[in-house]
Amino acid sequence: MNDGTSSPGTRVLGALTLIGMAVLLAFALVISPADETQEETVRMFYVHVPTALVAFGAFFLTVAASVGYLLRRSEGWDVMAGASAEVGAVLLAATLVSGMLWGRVTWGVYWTWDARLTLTALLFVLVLGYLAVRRLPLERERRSRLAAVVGLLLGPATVACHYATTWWRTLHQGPTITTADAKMDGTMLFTFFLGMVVFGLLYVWLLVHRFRVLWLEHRVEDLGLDEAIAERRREAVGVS
Amino acid sequence: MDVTPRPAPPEVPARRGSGGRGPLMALALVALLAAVGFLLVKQVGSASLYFYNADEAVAKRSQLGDRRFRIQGTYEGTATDVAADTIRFAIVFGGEKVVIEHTGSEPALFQPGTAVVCEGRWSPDGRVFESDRIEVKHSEEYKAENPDRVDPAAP
Amino acid sequence: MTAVLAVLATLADAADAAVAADAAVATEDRGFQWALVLACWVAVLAAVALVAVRSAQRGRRLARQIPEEQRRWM
Repeated sequence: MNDGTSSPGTRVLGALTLIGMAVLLAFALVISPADETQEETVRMFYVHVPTALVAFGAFFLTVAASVGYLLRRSEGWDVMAGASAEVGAVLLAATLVSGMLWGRVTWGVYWTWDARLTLTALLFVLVLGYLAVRRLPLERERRSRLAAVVGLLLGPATVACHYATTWWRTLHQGPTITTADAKMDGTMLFTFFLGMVVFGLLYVWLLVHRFRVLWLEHRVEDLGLDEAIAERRREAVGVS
Repeated sequence: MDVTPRPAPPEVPARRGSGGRGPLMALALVALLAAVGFLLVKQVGSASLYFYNADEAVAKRSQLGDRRFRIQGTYEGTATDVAADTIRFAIVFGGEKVVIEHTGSEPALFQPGTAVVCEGRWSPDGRVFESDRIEVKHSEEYKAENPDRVDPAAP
Repeated sequence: MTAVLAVLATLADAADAAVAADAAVATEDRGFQWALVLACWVAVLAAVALVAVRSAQRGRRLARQIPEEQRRWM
């Protein structure tokens, strides 16, 4: 039954995610109302904001796992950091694309270099750099150590990106959902929370799968190494 | 039994199959590093002060000269056509009113009462701000549209 | 990495399509809004689906290469 990276657990998670996505689509595109000023374009909020926040969370897990790796030097932490960054990169790409389309119809431009957008681009480039470091042809321990150090950079970059609208003057609007009060009507607010849950589930689901893929990559790598060593031994002993 | 001396086995690379991608990855890293540098300069340079509020732009008028910058304020009154592709309207912020002469198109959400960011420069005589780009700075508040106002064009 | 790049290529295509659609629609009415909203959701979900499928394929290919006892994570 072990023919890939799925297991009973991930199948349940996957089913929940797909059902959740269908419900989210119904709420985002049909049930929730249009906005007073933004009209239908507010429907991009429910994909833009949850993907951004979940991506930020993913990068924090990468930072935490990188710290874990630097302290413990265990393979699990290393693989966890890489898997979380991969899924985070996909979600942040979704944030960028949805944001550009949303910006085009509300601000009037696809892109502008305000602090929030600049720092989001920076964060995205940093994550791609981190993932590139993870593919450098180095000995695994050195590569993991290097990746963990680069992974730490995602921490300040994520924080700066998240608070950019508060710290600097931006075209991008400030946070809608704060602890004090949510500046959003009931059904819209519910749709947003549903979006957070569904994209959160999607993240965990993809994270488990990517963790297993990266783990398998290491095993295949080991296998190649073992074979090479065995071959060398045979060569050294001579043909029997 | 074969006793001829054998050549030493070749060194085993640490990672097989990916050796050819090394230079490519290094190149990608350099490119990404350059991008990081570019974005940092962008952030430190212009992005950290994305716009001047209307009152600040008025106070710094002589200092700004004919430099290109962005100005922010609330669009008040109605816009009037002054030329084929040019409109004139006023923005207000911090008790200062600035007349904008904008050439080009306007975003869909450009309506009286919304905060806008205009990009351009002071006119040589400093009386109007000549803009060629308007961005609508919409708020972070969301309210359900009035259900009585059903738009028949909506699908 | 290749999977991520593939996603980016898909997203870039989607953005190009959106720009093309933008040029075709002269008036920025509700139809235009809906076009962008749907383009946004389709691009995001398609990209995620592509990543998931490619990841599953790669997982299966890798799993076949290693002995059974090394993949007892279930």
